[in-house]
Amino acid sequence: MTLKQRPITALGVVVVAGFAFAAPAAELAAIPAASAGGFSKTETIYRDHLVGGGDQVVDTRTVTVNVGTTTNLRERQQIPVTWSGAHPTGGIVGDVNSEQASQEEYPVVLMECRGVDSTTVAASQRLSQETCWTQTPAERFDSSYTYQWPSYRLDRYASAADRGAIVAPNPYPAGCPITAEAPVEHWVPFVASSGQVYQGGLNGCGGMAPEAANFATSTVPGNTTYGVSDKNGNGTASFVAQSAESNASLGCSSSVKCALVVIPIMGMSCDPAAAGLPPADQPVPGPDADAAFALCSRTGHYQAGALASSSPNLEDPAVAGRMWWAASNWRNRITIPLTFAVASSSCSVVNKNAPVDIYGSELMAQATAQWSPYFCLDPKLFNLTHVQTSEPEAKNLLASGGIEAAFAADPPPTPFGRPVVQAPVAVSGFAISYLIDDKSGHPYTKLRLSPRLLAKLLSESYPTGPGIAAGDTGIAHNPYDMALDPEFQALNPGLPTSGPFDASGASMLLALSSNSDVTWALTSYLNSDPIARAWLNGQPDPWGMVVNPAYKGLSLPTERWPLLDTFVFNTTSACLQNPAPYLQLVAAPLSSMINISLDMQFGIENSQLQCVNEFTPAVKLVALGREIPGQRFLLGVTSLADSTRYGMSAAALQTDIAGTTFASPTTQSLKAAAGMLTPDTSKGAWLMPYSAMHSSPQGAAAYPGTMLLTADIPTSGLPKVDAARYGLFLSLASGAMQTAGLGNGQLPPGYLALTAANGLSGLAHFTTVAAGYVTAQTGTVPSLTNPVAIQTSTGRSPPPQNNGGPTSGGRAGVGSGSSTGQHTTAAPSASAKSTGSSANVAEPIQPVGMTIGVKSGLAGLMLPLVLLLAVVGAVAIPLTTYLGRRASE
Amino acid sequence: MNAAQTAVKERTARFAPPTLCGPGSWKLIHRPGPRPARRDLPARASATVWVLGGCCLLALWFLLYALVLSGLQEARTQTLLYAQIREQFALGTGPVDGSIPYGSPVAVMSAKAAGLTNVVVVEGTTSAELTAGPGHLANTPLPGEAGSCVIMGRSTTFGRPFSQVTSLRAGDEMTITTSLGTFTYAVSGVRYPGDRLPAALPAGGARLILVTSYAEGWRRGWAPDQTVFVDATLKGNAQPTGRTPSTIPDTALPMQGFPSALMPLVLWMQGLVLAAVGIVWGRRRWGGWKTWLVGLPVAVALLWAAAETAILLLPNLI
Repeated sequence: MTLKQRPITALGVVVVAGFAFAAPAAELAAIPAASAGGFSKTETIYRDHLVGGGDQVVDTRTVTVNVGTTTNLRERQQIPVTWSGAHPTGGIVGDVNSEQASQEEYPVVLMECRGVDSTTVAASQRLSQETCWTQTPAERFDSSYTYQWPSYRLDRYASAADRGAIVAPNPYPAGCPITAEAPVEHWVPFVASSGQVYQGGLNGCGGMAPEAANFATSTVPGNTTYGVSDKNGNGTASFVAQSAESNASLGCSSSVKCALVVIPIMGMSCDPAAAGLPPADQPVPGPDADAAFALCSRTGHYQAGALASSSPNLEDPAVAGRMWWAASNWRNRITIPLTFAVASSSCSVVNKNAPVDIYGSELMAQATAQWSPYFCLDPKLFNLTHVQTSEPEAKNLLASGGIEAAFAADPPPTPFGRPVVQAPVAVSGFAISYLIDDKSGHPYTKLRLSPRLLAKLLSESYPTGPGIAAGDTGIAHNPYDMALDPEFQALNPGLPTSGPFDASGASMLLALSSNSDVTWALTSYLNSDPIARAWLNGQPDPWGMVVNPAYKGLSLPTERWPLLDTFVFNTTSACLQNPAPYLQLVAAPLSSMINISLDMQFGIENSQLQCVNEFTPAVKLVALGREIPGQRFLLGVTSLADSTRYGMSAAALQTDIAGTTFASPTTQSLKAAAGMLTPDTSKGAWLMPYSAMHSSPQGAAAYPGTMLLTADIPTSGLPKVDAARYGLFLSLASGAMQTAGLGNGQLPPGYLALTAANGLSGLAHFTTVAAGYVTAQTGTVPSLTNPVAIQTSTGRSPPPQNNGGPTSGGRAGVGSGSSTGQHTTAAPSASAKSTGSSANVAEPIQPVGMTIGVKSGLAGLMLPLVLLLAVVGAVAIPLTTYLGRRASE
Repeated sequence: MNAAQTAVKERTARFAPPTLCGPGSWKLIHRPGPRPARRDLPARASATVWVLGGCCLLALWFLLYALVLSGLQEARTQTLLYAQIREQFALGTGPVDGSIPYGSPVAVMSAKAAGLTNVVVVEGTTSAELTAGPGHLANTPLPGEAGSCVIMGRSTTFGRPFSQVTSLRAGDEMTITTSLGTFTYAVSGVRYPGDRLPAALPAGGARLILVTSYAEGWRRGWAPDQTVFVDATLKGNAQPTGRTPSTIPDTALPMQGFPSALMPLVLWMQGLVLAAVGIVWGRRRWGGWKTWLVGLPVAVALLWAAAETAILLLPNLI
């Protein structure tokens, strides 16, 4: 094992372990969504004012919420949520995760909260507003300089303490002086899993969790989602679950219970009389109370479906999403317990045995994220660590003896030089993931791409705009971007043809900058298509578009896509003064697929075209950042497993020469492709016959992005202990761990299991046999076509079906609150709140609290110090002169 | 040191070019005529004197700028802003609602008892805006509108507009003019840290809160380290409240500096170093008076800009 310490630092790559995302089972899912923990609940909710002692019901809705996967969740997994029957949303903003989205009227608020929503558990385990995550402090704080009676002070369902003028921490946090001058304010602190209380307040002045950020400084979108309901009250959203890996303050994990809380905002139920409250909290009957009730009972500034105005704060707070914490809204919540899988990052904690490292392909990352915990949680096994590197790099290291095992997809271009078995462990591949919004601003889901379109994107042949087209003469007459390309429009009807898309986003395919077997597979697919090849060789397409001359005749396949366009765009922009080829800035490939996945999940455009710090020495170009929802156009090469785990859409790829059949990644199309794998005994591996894929009838249904992943392990020279462990790994990988599922030790969606049902028992059998060869270290490898077992025993019982965590979840743990919501005051929240509300509101004395000053040592000491410096200088100069003279005498 | 060495040293000293600021500079300034030759300082002591002298002069300049010159700058800015807001009032184009750009004038205030006459209030309260005069905290209603309006001002530098607001007494009047009209406020008192907060506003009431800095004891008047508040209540009816932005930058809160001024400050200081090098070089090539004729304005301009930028880093209320 000592061998391996060196390569880790030398490579500088991501050590995997816990980066795993689970996913809505899209088309590819080997398991139906329901069995993965689907959830559905219907509730009738009301908005009813208490006027003159009687109920005045102003709005009634029956809301149904459906949620996809809720069990065995992993870091940043997307949970699909759909609902119907909610109040239509108004004042809609583009980014549903932003602070501005909290100002929408009547959104359906989705948030992740820690705890159990039940009155029967201990208070510290209970879910409340204070354990619900918001990215910005503004979403949990309200103050008014203007109104003595903002709507939440009339909330009939709120406790008396919550209706006070100042609901603030006691003592009042230092550093928050000005808002203390506001007549009314309401703080909702956040309690971290450690028990630490972050008070929040204006701009988080009272302290906020390290993962939180003010709007101005936030770069990472939060996961609090202000979902938009259409005019019929239906809506969908994709909620990003955060585990303790990215949000330790919220702290959700396999051992800390958390829940998805869905709050359909109905608006404040108002009680202007405020009977029973201290006099200070009762509006004076007459104009005062009437004005307060008018404010509280407002029904919205915006029409249903209207977009938010550019001038801020027009919304009616009484129906805005940022009032999610008010009891009138909070009592309508639907709580869905979430269970997280044991993260592989916990392996280093629970199992101190020396790790067994396998370097290589990111395509295996999702699988090893579920396999590693299975290994490390079993004290009889060992720590399995997947060190993610590019495949060619891992194969080079293996050939040179720097590492002991590698995940790869292709055999090395030159043989390893020592006996190495290339044992199949999974069938997966790459996906052309995309995020494209259609004419109505909704995500498009039926994208079809031809090899020639992919070649156009990769070869920098779209000029992105007239400026480039005028200068880069070779591509001057091409469409500016793919959305304008008649070939693309013919394949994908229903997309805007002169859309609002960002031209650079629509001109490139976010790809890998490093050497990769994925690029090899992708370019093999392009190269084997005669039409794409002819276009790359210079033949214009039927609409006259030509290849960028820099790429004309490019030799394919290749492990690394080159950036060849050299046109430098002369503009006055300070950032573009340093000559950098413009289209290379547009392409901006990334070095690892995990980064591409991240950009695709959050719609981040990586083109390095945004100029920051202009007019300063720090001037530089950075990525363009998140595209505006509704106007997105992004494509990227991701792993199929990432695409499935994140819930991204994957394009259907053309499978014949005529352009009539397309295959999207499904279990069937992967199976069809895997069935075409042919053994190549000279290379000791199975290869994909790309040219046959385009021509044979079998290939018409086969997904061209399919790739066979192998574990490459030497059969000579390994230490005995390591050899046995790798052997054990192979025998488990070929057998028990090929069970599809989201639990630890299972194969997640995005992979095709090597089973007889999938017609791949031959591959599995080879790996089982290879396990024996690795353990024995005889220096021989089994035959591809007729593997004969060597005499060893490495058998082991299969992993239990749900090793990862509690199997409950789904319906079993739900049922918080009442079955039909109406008029049962939300007891759990009221009692849970009592810890956080401060005591100084209970007193009916009008002027509450003291004036708090801000003391500034800097202000008090700066000028004195400067004066001191001057005086010291004035004294020291004659002194030094005098002493210096004396010394020199 | 033997006699021969001493003689050499004296000769060298006599023929060394005169310097204006360094050791021996009195020769040039005072033209002292024949004086007994004095020994030069050892190199190390000479360097110490130079560094100390430079720091001393810089410190004195900073004090001069902070306490005196910045006031001149503020007075000129106020003159320009006053002309601008008069034109806005006349044309009816003043801001009344929504997000007002930081730094634009929003009101004119007068308070005789605090020595304020037609002082222009700008939007925004970061260190940068408050160099122009008092600033209006952007997430509060405008003066004259219902609710609590907060105006912050400096007490020590840049014309010290709010240096005397603590001498306001209950009942003193303050007038403030915005695009919505002229409003008269009655002072209800000065509030120091630890004092009770004022009573809650009645519905439709309007209050003006002035915020500045102060100190007691030896700090008084030049090194304030604590905030103080002056409350005033509107006489007559308030205007309905317009929309205000719900968020403000942290730097707009009281006693906050403006950290992004650091980068320009570094650049100005680099400019100063360049100017110093240029002056030394010039004195060798052209001689003293010619160099100073060219170099002094450049040096003063750079010193001015550097001091102004440095003050932005300090808390906004001093």
